[in-house]
Amino acid sequence: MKPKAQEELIYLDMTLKMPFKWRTGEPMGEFFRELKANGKIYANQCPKCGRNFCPPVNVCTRDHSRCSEKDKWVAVGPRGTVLTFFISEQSFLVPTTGEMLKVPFSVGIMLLDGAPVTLQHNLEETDSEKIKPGMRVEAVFKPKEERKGNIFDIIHFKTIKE
Amino acid sequence: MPDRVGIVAAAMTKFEAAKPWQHLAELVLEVTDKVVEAAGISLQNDVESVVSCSQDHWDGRTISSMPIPDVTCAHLKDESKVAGDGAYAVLYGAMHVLSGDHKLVLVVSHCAESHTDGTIIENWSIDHVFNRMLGLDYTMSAAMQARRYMDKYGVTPEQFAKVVVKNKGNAKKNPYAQESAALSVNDVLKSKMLADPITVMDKKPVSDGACAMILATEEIAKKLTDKPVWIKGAGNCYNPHFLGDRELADCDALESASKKAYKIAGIKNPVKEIDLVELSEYYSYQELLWTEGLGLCKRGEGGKLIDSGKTQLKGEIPINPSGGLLSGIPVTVAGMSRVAEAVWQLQGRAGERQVPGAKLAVAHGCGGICGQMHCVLVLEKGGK
Amino acid sequence: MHNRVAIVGIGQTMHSGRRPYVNDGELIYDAVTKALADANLSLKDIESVMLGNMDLFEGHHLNDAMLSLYSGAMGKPGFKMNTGGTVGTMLAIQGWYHIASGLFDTCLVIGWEKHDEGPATPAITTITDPSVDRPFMVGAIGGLATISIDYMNRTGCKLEHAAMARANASLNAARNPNAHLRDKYSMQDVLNARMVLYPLNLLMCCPTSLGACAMVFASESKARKITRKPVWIKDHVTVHVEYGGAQFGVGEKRWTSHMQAGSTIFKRNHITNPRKETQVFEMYDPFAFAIPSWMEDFGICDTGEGWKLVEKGAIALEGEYPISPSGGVMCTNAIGDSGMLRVAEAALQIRGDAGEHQVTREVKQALASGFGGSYWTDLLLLSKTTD
Repeated sequence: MKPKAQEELIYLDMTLKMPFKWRTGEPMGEFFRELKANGKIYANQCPKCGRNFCPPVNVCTRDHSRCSEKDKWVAVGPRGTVLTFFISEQSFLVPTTGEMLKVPFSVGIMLLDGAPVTLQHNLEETDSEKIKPGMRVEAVFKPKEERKGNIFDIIHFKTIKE
Repeated sequence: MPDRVGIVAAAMTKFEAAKPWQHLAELVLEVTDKVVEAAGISLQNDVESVVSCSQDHWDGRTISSMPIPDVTCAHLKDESKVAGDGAYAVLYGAMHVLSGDHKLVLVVSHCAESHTDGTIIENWSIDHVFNRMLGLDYTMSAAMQARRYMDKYGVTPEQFAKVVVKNKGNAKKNPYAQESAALSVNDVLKSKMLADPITVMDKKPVSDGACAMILATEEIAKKLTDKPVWIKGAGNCYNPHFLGDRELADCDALESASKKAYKIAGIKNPVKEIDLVELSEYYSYQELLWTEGLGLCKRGEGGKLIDSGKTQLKGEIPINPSGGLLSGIPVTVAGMSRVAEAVWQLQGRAGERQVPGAKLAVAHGCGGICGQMHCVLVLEKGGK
Repeated sequence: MHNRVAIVGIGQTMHSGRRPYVNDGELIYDAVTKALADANLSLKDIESVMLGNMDLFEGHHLNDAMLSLYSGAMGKPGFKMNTGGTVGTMLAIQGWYHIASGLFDTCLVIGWEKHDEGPATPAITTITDPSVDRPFMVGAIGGLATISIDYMNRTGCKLEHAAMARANASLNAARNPNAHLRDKYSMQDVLNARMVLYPLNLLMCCPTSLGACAMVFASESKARKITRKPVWIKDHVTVHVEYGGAQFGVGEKRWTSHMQAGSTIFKRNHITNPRKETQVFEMYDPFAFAIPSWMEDFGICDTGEGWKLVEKGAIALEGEYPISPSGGVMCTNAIGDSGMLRVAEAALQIRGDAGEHQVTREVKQALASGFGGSYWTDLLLLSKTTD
């Protein structure tokens, strides 16, 4: 029922702040260690069905075969092909940081060289005229001393000509 | 029960105060692999449905079951998520089997309490209009319930402490237990006070881990194991949410749930017929209170029951021979781990904590503020 | 063999974008009282109560317990399940299991969401793994945009076809007093809307609505005593997939959860001509391209035919095969009840009780779908009779 005209609508303002220290686990942790220490992106492969995964996984999602042995990992990228993308003109509240993203920003799904795996990340290019599926891009890393072992050790993927 | 549902096998991780080397999905992977091996089945070909159990707030992830299909080989299969205590997930898995829809179901729960601050999450389960702003969490609410329980029935902190002494002692015999200790009542009473009368030892410690089990039709269960455990009865019930709307010193919802479970199981005299109970005591006083709700003694006599010694490991009706939640089990996994312990008891696989000749067990899970909702399962030994 | 399950009571609230003078409990209570009235039952006839929604959206943990006073769960059995966008259909399936298992004869399922009380887009973004994908997911829309582009590339569907589907939905919603967005649009109106994320413009994506839907289920023996018009839940299937979805099955043949769900239901129920043997489909259609592309994926029509059916007007209320005569998810989207509304609206069509948005053909069998997660699917087949 609607309150009477002179009554005040009472709201309860709350901001949910939940601190987390998420675990990366074995293969994902190693994926980030490689990103941080060596500027390398890794994928792995199921020994049974040959399916590739990036970041690497413990078990194949299709047949549950173990595939986390590091010696079977394959370095992928840093170059790749844009499969699809979006450009956002609307800003957005990042739930993990509480920040509003600067607009415009673009995100691409990149098919990385070296194995049929994809990675999502920001594209440097934000002009819709200049991004086309099929275009070639390359990961740009932060300088080693600035890397923290998270996905932002890659700054973005820049457009390249080949 | 309309039909027999068999628990073929159960598995758990060792519970630990923190497992930072494992992604949440890896906790699930660990118990999935263990239980599949224990049941002697193929994850890919035999499991028809996965019932997962996790909490979005605890995982910090909407649809916290997102990574589950990856590690349970559930790509293109039925997978669903119970957002509550693990005992409910076992019940839901049983419904899958009873409906005839799925003949073999994997049920799995996980929680890593250590990766966040649980008191905030507890606070966010309390109604936002009246009580959340008071900064209530479960420990403070438990203190209110314990105090009410003491005032109404004369139970004492010494009797609460006896629960801690018993369960931490039992935990010494449990290789999965996080914490065990040889304590005296005085040790507990003198430990750091959190919210009178709840001391740090009266409270379940923060824990990480996972639990899984395999449920199947009677026919398949008998093929897979000569020691199936039948789900003989089940009941669950909600209390009101507002603490003042219920008598905190009585557990009406648990009574309703257990009566229903006993009725289905055909139990007329719980104390005489039940061989052991694994219940969810997040705080020591809860074990006494829940024994009343489970019909193991009259209302208000939970303290007398522990004084009698009957609930000790070697007593007439051992309660929490595993060490219970006080030994360290995460929320969500809690109820399912009670079922798993009961299963092992009935299968004669409980090692040093085995209750000899156990044939009928009760497993209990609960959730919400001051045990707002309860789920009771009656389990029966199958095979020889 | 399971016990047959029927829907014997349906209730829903009106839906809107903001209702600051109603709280979550009152919303749920509204739907519950309507469902009980529709079934001519009272709460004491209900043996179990299931309340579901995505709790991170409103920021309330264990809110099934918190709202037990309003849902009627107090003093009764029940527990919560939630699986993302599919939570509404999941609840219907949960209700089905309660009764089909033989453990209960009646139950009440309630799906709801009150999006005006919390930030939906950041909350939905948390479905991603925190380490890798979360920084790059901006709510649900990115993934849906990429599915749309992929469909256009594969089949030659144009933006106009999506706009036609949305325009048709608006005509349906205009006839549905409970829908949220009820303005009528032409194809051109839809094309003129503000672009949000190519190719999806503002009208082509679903809104965030608030509302609740409740249904009473009963076993066969009770159902026939409760109502002259029970709607039978004949079959259902849930198909989940690996995280990361299967829309980028790079290097493999395209096979999505919708495709698996549709083929399973049709095969099990000997349906070889879905557009003849079912008469309406309340599809979980959260974006305009969903209608043509998922008609194909579910197997309602062949690949490449979906947008042609839209072009022909086949999906209209009076068309050959109406899709979402309620207006669907593009006109009303409260996550916890979106899936449940699909089942409820399909049931209303079978009963002939959908009022102005009742389809013109007699409905004997109807489909209802749910979608969510990383491309997860629920599909239910409802029927007027038990054979």
